[in-house]
Amino acid sequence: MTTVLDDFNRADGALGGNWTNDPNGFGLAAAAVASNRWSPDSATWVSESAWNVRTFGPACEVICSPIGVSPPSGYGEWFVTARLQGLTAPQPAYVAIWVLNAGSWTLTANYSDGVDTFQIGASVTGANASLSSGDRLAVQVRDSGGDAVITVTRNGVTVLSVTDSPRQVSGAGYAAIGSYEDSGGANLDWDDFGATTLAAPPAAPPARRHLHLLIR
Amino acid sequence: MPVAWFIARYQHRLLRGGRIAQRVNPVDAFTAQIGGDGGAWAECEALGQRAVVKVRASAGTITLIGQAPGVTRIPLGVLDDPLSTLTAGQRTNLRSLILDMGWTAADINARFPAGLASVTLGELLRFAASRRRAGRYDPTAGGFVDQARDVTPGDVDRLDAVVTP
Repeated sequence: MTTVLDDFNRADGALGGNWTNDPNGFGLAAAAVASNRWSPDSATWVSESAWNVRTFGPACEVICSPIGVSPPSGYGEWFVTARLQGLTAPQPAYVAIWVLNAGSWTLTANYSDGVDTFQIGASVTGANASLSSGDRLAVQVRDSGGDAVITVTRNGVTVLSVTDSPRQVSGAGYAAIGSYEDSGGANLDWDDFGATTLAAPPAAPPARRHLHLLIR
Repeated sequence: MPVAWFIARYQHRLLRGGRIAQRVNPVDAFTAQIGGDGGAWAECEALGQRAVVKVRASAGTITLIGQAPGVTRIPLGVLDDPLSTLTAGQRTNLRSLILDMGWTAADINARFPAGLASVTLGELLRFAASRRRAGRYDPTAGGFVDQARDVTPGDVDRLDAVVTP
């Protein structure tokens, strides 16, 4: 079970040394702790923050919880990143993106090369793609042969699962959260961030064992 | 339920206040409708910021997808189907489609020296998807364009196995 690494329950102000602002170098202003939650820059309403203490993976899970006005309104984007390959320049990663536009929600899994974003497979729309204050979200990335499987759960229910074939991001990486709100109108922030390395699936039996069985 | 193959040119939308571009498959606009049919779709990236797409859906949905901007339906449904069953005009259209992706006439002639009438749908799609390049959003071009760097191509046969009739 993934434990919370930052509950943001502290005085309003800078996120602190465990976080790196704008890891891909988009020129985003820093997020801050506001009312015990992760909140994007209050002038531009767009920020992204990576937990810089260590990497997770290759099989990994990032958890977080939206908090704020529920349901949100206006236009907003919320993103959760796994396997981010670095913190100082555009780096590949997998990103789950929730978009609220005119009352309609869309959830997509994406490969990011650190500059542009490439949707993987089909999107999810409707209730399964929505965010509500207090939801428990988890984004998992696991390898499957030469592919990567990205799974998003909401309150323990799988709402999206896509396969990136062939896999475009390998190995461990950092975890990150971010959001963009049109003039802050959506008013939904992040809380209770966590990440962990998941156990690798059981290894396949060694080839020698197969040979032994064949001989018998 | 019917299945159909398409070549789709990726589209884009801007996120984070226009700071980044998200590349999207135009077939994704039909995801809910395909799901309502009890169908499915999957993609395999190809050259020229195109995707080879296989869809299982109702005949009506498949027709609508084929009419969407940037999407071209391939007039055969099974990888083993020979292109010889198509009209000469249909094969010419397929050749134009492959050329539009960025393959050259020399590439096509080298791979299919006896012409498209001698090959199957699978051979054509595997060729189309046998190379792809990294993409980058180009505001001047108004969309994603190929970069010089080749990246690992997709697998048409995996796509065929994922979406079945």
